[in-house]
Amino acid sequence: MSEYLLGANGRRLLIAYGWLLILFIIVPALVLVPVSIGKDDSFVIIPHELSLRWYQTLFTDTRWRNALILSLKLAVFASVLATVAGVLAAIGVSRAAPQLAKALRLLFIAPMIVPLMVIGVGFYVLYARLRLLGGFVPLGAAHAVLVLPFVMLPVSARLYSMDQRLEWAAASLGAGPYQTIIRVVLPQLKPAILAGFAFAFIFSFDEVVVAQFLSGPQMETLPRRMWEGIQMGGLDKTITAVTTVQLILAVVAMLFITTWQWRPKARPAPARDKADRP
Amino acid sequence: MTTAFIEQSASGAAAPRAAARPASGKPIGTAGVGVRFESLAKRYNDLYAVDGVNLDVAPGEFLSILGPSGSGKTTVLMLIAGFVSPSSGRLLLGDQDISRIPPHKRDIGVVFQNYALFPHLDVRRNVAFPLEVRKVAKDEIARRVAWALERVHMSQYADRRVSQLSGGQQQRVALARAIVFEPRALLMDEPLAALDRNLRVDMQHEIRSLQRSLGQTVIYVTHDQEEALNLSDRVAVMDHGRLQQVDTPKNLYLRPANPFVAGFFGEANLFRGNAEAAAFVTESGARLPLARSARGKAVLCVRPEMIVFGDKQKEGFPSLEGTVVETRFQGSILRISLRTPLGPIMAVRHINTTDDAPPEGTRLTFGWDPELGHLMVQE
Repeated sequence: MSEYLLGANGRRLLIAYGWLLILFIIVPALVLVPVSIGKDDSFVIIPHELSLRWYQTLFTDTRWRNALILSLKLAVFASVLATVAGVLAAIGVSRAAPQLAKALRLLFIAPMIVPLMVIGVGFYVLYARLRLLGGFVPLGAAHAVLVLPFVMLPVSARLYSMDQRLEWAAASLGAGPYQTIIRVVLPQLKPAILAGFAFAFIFSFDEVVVAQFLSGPQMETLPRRMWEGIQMGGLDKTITAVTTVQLILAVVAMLFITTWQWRPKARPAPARDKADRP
Repeated sequence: MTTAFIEQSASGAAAPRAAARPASGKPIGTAGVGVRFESLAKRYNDLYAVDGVNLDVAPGEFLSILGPSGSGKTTVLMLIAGFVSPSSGRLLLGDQDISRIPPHKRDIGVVFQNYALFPHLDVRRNVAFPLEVRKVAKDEIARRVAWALERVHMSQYADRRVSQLSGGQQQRVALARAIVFEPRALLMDEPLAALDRNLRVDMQHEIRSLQRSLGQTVIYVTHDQEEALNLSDRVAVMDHGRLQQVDTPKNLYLRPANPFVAGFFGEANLFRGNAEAAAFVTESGARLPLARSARGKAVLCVRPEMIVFGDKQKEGFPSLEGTVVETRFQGSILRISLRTPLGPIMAVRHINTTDDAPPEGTRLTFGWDPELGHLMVQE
């Protein structure tokens, strides 16, 4: 169809544009990978001599290692919290009256839309009053709020597309509301929950703005350490090793999500819709 | 009429049940109980989806609820299953009022049109589901699941994923899942609508024989007249949220209660007018003989196959004239459309090798046995 409409030149142009776009998305993410395995501390893209010394620094230097461990802990804490709260919220919202559900859904997705700076300053003022600045749990809770939409969105979408008659069937077979959620609803949501969890984890792992506001002097998360490493002028090349690790982590998470979602599922039965269902 | 059917299905139940009894343990499969609707109504805002339904379903009876889209039959199903609660009236299962009991405590097996099997469980676990939620012992679950799968001829598919089954196989599994926990009644929501025609007919036989051998009470919701007539002891015809008639398939055809029912089951030539003792006077003024005398505004129903032509007319038949507008050959029958002073008339005739179809424009005399005309007096 498009061949016919565009003609040969138009087609070539379209393909060129497509490649340009793909490269523009991928290259910035990949450019630091070869830099990170260069031996000397200059930022050349094609290294003269290969070495893993920057990775070694990341795992042996105490400041870098502590930052890495803290960030991992924080991401686990925040994403687990957000996943539990987000799944429960999504199920709750799916059962609310349509108007209320709309309002609630907007509220739960708001952290994704409101600028991070606004949330960061807001939490900073609040936590300063409550003397919670610099605490691990308060920062984790703030991160959980930030990543809640990453869980809410896929889980809500899955709930929306789920056949309500599965729940009816469970009820008719003797399963009460809680048993229905545990035995029928949650297993159906599993891919969406895992996807939400993975996105939440990655976002929390490299979130810097809110962490900067709330972590206080002693708590140094990995992105904060990197930020410092850039600002200190010396340009610590360990940063390139960190970004590469983060990139690998993200790619693994995405592969994990897609394989889960592409697993062959039960095809919905060819049901005829009924006009007289209330 | 009803009781005769029930006795028949109850006596038919004894032999196959004994054969299905497993080697050990108590026999599985309980007979159903009766279902009683008492002025049951469901209102959405000011609209009655179901309006004052009174109905008694006998234990072990196969009753279909039949109606077109929007007739309220699906709401009745939802009321029985407990997914919506009635605005007024009562629903009794056996002698227990279940109107306010949540669906999971009703003990009614439901078979859905789209099967509603759990995609994350294999066949065995799907069938075991109602037993697992009831915390039945493991070996008893295994025994009952084996029994239920055996009943629907699906034993060899126990380890399959649901997505690996065809539509008909999925429906069998859904059926096994609905009977395995020995429900007090079975509710079926157009279970065969998604299957192709040949499979549908096979499944009708299977559902019927399963119901008979278990002695289960089945309430079967459908919009398919043929299916309802084929399966049911009695059919409850619904339209506009009300029961139009509850009767045996034969009576619904031969003795419809009103023009809606008459038109819903097969074709009907309907004449509107007044019954005046031994004659029926149509709106166009024709006098048609009646077998039994009656009075008042009425509709006379004559089925197409009851119309006879020319020399096959007998003493006492109305003698009418019409012109053939169209003849259509439909396998074993010939369908003849006539234009008459009474309006268009439809007649069918079984193909008889010595007869030719009358060509268009032929004038024919026709009539029917007044005994076979059915008068529906309107209040």
